[in-house]
Amino acid sequence: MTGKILIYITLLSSISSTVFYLIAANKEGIFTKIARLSYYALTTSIVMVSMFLLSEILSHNYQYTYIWEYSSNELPNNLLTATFYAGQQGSFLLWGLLLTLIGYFLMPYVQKHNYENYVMAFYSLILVFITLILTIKSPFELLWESFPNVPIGHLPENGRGLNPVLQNYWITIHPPILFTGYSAMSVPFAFAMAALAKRDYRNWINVSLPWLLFATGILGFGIMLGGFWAYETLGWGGFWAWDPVENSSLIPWLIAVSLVHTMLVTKRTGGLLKTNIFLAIFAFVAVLYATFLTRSGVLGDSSVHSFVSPGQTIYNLLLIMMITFIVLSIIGVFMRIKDLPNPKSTFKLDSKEFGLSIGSVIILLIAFIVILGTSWPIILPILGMEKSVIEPQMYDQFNMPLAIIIMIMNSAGLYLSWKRTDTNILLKKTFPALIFGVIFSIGASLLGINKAQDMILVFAGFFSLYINTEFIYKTIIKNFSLIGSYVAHFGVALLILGALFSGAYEIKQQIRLEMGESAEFLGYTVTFEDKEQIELHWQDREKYKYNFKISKDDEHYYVHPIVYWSDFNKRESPFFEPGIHTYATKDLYFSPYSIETKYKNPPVILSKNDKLPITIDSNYNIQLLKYIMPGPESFSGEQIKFGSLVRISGEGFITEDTLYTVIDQGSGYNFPIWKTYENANFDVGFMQLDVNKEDLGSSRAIFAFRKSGSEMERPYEIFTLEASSKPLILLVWFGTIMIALGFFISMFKYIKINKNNRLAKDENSDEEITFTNEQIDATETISFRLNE
Amino acid sequence: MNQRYIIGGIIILLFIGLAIFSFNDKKVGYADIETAAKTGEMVQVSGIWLKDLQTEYNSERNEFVFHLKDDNGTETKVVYGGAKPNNFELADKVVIKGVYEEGYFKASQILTKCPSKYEGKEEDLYQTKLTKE
Repeated sequence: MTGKILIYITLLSSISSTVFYLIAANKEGIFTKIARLSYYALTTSIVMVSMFLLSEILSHNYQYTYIWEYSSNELPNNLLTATFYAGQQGSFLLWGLLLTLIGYFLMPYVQKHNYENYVMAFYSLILVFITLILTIKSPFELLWESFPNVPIGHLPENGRGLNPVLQNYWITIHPPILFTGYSAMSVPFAFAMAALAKRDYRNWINVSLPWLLFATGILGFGIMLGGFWAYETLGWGGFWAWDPVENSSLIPWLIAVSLVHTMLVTKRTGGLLKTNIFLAIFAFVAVLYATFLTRSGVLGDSSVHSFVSPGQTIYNLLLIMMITFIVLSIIGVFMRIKDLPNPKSTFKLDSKEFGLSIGSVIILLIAFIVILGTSWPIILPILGMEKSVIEPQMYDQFNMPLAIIIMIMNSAGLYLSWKRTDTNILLKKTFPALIFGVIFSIGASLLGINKAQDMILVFAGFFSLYINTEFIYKTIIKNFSLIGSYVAHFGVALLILGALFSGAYEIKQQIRLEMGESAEFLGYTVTFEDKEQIELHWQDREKYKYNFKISKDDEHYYVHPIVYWSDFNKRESPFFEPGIHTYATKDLYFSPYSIETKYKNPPVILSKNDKLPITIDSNYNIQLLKYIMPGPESFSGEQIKFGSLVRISGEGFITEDTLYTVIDQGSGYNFPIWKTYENANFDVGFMQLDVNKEDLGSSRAIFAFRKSGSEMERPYEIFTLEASSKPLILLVWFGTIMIALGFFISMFKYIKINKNNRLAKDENSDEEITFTNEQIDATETISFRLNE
Repeated sequence: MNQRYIIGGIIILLFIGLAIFSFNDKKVGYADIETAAKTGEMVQVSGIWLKDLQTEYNSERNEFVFHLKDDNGTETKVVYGGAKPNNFELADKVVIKGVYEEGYFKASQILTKCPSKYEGKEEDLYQTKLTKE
């Protein structure tokens, strides 16, 4: 009850906050105070909801369906905490919690910048929807509410547990960061709507830019962590597969990056006012669309991630939420369409503002490609066509030329000046980078880059690296806080180069080894040495670390692919983790494919009346005649003797005999009572009964054989894995980290500028500062100097 | 209206047009086994895995073989040129992509629902056992 009541309080307080902020926007005074109090109530209650859910998870209260579904007694505390958001209900709660907390810090900020009422009103409205979803899809639903036949008060002893694939530290890191990014993307949206409401089409950009940079930086970082998780632990072989779930997180990020650039244009020229508002709304709608795609089950059969459909209600609610905000935005824009200024600034082709605009358009094009491709299975049926999906390679093909243009522009563009550029100077300045790019492109072709377009990409990449390094170097001496954009641009070039090398020039080979055997891979000798069981303290799994020795010349080291069986899937098939060795220039990646257990003389499986040769000596046959049901004498302690009547026949030899298997109910193990026969030099054992529950009579029996008197042969394993070499994959990780870092550096720059600006404004309050020319973006001043 | 906006707009529309055109060219449609067998085209088929029929991975040929019943109830043998996907048993639905050849479906990709989320069923409730610590 507590949980549900608390969720209703969050819903009520978010409604109250929205309503009173809206009233306060027209009529200040007491209403702002009520709205603030409502928001504080929302913050308190959603924190309490989360704490309550967490404490119920930690105390294993499996009366809640959600907790029973995703957690278990065996999980350590860090993973238990992560089961908070392992399912849909919890991830909506996490989203709501992070939104609320970000809003809690947003509130004093917008107060200072005189933007509180409208921004917080739109912001709270988002929370109304999230909390509404939580009341319908509540993590506090009880078992007997979910399943009508379950008696009230039923408390299972254990939960079903977390999918073993998710059981590692990544699940504690990746989702919260990604959701922080999603949540923060609401801030620029709230600002854009407030800008429309307040008819302030320019200043909102200055105020919201640090938030946009924060959102973009953290979302980008979150996306990258997901890619790294897939690569490092899940063994998907790569960091990006153009899967709908990945794509849907990329779309808002791309739009936000585009918005960062158009905002920059506005700051300097006053143009692109409508574009900014449109993009801020678009980025947020893309977040909602991402949620819709991944949470509604609509892409159910086209994604590896795909989620089970959450039910029609949630599907509708998510759709309604998306439509509401789109309609609201359209209404907002239309109400102001005449009022929106039409600055007569035409950008010259050789101006920086034109360069930035084109850059934004190209980033948007990528976003459109990804939206179209991801939505393809949804769009077609709407148009009345047959449903189909897009091959992932399509994205690579389309983005290739765009990536080249982006890297040329994100470097050469830095040399453009506002208003107009001297083309001769531009050529002169970029000449060294041109040479640098050509040298590396030729170098790459000598190392095996063989396609013309790849060579151009390498050229563009190194061209960009050169110029951005130049800018970082020249700027960092003067002011560290100004290097953000160059760092991010540098990161983009690294990322794209890394993606090309590690993806298109990957070398793969399938390797199949028995223990002790070796295989050759790219001049390395790969030896399957042995395995050891790990995590022995866990009873719910059987986990092995395999030791593969890799040697080349004098170099020796081990990689450790992991194979484990888990109760989660009743140990039906193993789970795998790759073994990776990282060099500066490449990763060697060993991804397990399968593990087979074989016997030289395999056991035979017989149904009643089946007759098969004895594998150890095929002159003899074994036939199963019937089972002997255990009588009272068969039971001793926890052990049951179960018998089968068999006929063993060979040349001039025939005998019928009862063989027994002993079932130990304590340990669950079976063991045979071995029998030897005259003249035959083997023993026969009834290993176990493969019970057919529906028809006991057709259960099957497993018989094994051994040389008389000796131990039964041990099974041997055949390990199949895919070995691959991924050149320069490190560039991908470094690149994405630099991109995120660049956004954060720029965020601090604009926080500082805003603060100085506000202080200046406070000092001469009669002087209205609407345009930020006074605080001319210091970055640009430096690029001016470089031009001279 | 600014001329450049128009030019920009045209470029974007052309690009999107090109995208749609080539998407349509390279698309993979959904079909059932019957249609797949008739047309012999590259298609996606969704269905359920038939647990009781032969399901095995042959590492020498790097082939994973299983049987699938499509949404219309038609059964087929599926041969996939790769290892059994992780979570294959957990999936309540399997989507295969490939072409139907003589007597079997040659899959180039297997999508399984769904590694990250799956919801509990009532019967699971009574199967939970305490593992010994």
